Amino acid sequence: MFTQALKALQANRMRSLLIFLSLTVSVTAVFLISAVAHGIVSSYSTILRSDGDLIVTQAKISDTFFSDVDTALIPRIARIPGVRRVTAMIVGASPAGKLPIVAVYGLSGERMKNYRLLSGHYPKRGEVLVGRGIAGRFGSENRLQIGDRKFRISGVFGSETGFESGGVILTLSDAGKLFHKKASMLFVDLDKTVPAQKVMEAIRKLSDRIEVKSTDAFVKNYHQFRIIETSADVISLIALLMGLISIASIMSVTMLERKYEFGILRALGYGRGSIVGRILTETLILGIFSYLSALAAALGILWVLRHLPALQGYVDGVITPALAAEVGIAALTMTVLGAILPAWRASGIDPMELITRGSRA
Amino acid sequence: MIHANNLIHFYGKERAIDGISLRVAPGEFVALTGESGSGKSTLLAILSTLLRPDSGELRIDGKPAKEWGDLNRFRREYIGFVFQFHYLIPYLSVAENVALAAGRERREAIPELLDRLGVAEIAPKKADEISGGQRQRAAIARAVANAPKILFADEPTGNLDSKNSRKVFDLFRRIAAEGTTLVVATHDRTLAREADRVLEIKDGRLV
Ligand SMILES: Nc1ncnc2c1ncn2[C@@H]1O[C@H](COP(=O)(O)OP(=O)(O)O)[C@@H](O)[C@H]1O
Ligand SMILES: [Mg+2]
Repeated sequence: MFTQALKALQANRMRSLLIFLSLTVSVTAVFLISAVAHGIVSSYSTILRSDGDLIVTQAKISDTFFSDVDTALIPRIARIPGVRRVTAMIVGASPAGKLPIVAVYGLSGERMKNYRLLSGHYPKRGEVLVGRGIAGRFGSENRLQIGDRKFRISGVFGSETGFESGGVILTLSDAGKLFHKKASMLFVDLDKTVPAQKVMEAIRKLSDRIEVKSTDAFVKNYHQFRIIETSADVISLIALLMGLISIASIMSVTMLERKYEFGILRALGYGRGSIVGRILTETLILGIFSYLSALAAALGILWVLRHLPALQGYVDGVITPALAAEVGIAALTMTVLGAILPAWRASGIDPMELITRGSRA
Repeated sequence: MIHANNLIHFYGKERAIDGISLRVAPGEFVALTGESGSGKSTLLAILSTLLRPDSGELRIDGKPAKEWGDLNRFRREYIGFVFQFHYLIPYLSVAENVALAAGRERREAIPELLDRLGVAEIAPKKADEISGGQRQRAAIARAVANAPKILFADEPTGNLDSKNSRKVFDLFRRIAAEGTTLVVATHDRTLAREADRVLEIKDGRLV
């Protein structure tokens, strides 16, 4: 049956190619959109999770970009029993040099050490440390304009995260002047002598303009991530539906062309189920080939996006084995769904039509 | 082998089969002749289970319709059909086409069958690589691949010249000689005389 399916696909070369292409295009789209969304979420999660057991942000904000937390809280939080360390970060984005937009991280002293220094030294006041991903873009200049201020480049740092290695690091107070705020968020390390819940309550008592969450809870509930993931899912679904519709329409035409083939099988005593089985075998073979091609295409495109200088490494899509498996199941389901109705209709041909054709031909 | 009693079939208001009764003995080779439009194809379709008559009784090998059970299975076991058009699946070889009709246990016997029917040399070829006469003989080989008890053929020589038509009927003779019951519809009265018995149909009635 498998070799016969291959022969059928080869005999209907043009149709097979069309199905293959539409499947490959839609599955590639699904891979890209999901991988990029996943990349954004996991990059930013990595930054948020890099240290700190608790995250303190401004209360009732939709995005960490808009959060403003008073750094005067830092020493007060540090005094709470069970707290080992409090650090602060500003997350922003601004034009830098000739680059239209660059991620800017303002970091309080100890937090800098989380970043791997490749050359030079950690930035002091008036200095900026640039990520490896964009270091080459500023030529031999040792000064860099960020927003409305000029900074001296103190060195280069490396990071596995696209958002970081394509960004720059400043002191917290310099970033504060750029973005007119004290801090976007505070990270609180605990020494585990006091339950996290108690520490969180103590922090909440300090101000009613802040929100405290465990890092885990923060990342899991972060609204922006849900929006990105939901959008990706919706776009993926549309891409899959488009693929499904093209398979269904190409299959309908093919089935009509091949109806006498199924008619003779009916006359030979084949049941509808086994005819549908033959047709689905053909489309599943195409589905598997398309899936593998789409996976290869998506990996290739993601590699290019990651290394495209204009994107500064921000588009860092990852295809995890879980994503590959999920998309694989979705792609094959789509293949079967797209083919099953035309196949079922084709299998219903009345062998009487074989007689009629003969006598009218 | 076939026992039909007062078969009637309408297309809309037109009475295409108008009370036909007939018997065909096991191993008999019967030709069905008549003008175009007389009802040969319709009768053949009814006798071969492809079409349900509006009324009348049909027994095949002694079994009335309600004892046929699963129709697909019944067709595989009892019925072979050859049409005017060959309906060979174009992307498969003759041997593969024949294998489609043969149950698993009969696949081994296919080369021998093709040899016996004189089509062994075209076994590896596809439909568009052989002549019209060869295609029809391949279609006949496929129709008998599962050793059906009855072989039906509707105008099997309709697209063939007289030389190839004769070859097809020679083949039918050989199949009949092996004990298969044959019912062949043809408007060619000369060819019909090759059969053991000729039934003439006119306006849906036997004459
Ligand atoms: N599918 C059909 N629908 C309506 N009328 C039909 C159909 N098939 C055959 N007929 C009519 O039934 C009559 C018998 O046709 P048919 O059995 O094909 O005769 P033959 O095979 O002897 O030419 C003809 O008048 C034909 O026009
Ligand atoms: Mg006819």
